[in-house]
Amino acid sequence: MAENNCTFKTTPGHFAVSEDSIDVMALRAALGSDADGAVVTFEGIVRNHNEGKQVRSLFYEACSELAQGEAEAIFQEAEARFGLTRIVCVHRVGALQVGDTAVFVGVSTAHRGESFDGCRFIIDAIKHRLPIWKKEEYLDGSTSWVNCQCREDSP
Amino acid sequence: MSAQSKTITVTIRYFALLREETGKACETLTLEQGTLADLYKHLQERYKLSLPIEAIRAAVNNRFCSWQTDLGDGAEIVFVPPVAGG
Repeated sequence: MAENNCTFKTTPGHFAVSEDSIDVMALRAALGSDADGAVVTFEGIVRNHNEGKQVRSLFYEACSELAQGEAEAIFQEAEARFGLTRIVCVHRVGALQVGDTAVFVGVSTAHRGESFDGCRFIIDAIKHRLPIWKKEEYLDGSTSWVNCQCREDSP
Repeated sequence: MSAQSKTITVTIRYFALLREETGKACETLTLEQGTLADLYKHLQERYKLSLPIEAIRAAVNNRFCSWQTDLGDGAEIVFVPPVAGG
């Protein structure tokens, strides 16, 4: 099981993996400053279907140490490209149900364009680069590690 | 120089599909010195892993590394199956 690493700091570029449900309002409160005119936040929510199959629940697993290093690299790229003044991102691990927040990304900047673009850049990079894995459990009882299709994938 | 091949001890952490196929989250192995690719091929055979090496990335001591990286004694290795965060 992944180590819990959810000590929360309100500093720019904060990333955490959390076994506990994500407190969206607390994370939102860490964004923005007197110099920021824009805050954009994104929540990834567990939905009840994927690629034509009915999803009952999800299980997320992470390698926290590697994820931390990769998230910091992503944040540095985002800061350089979009001039973000604050970034907060938390990803859940463990068993999640439909409707749960799986990931939160929030950024703030002086103007809205950079916040929208920077938030989009970060969530896309997180999905493609962080060592985090997702196992779907379907209504018919079968399970599958997403993106790991292989011979022995079905139970 | 010794003609004998040197042995090293490494720790490997398994996640997601690899954890399920090996049946363990972590193990320490003593083996002949070689590259990351040599180690993955060895494990693939031993555990009948379904993911080809092309689908995997590897990290040593918390840094992503190329498959040709020579492993040192005490290395901590993570094999990263295809990711799916978000």
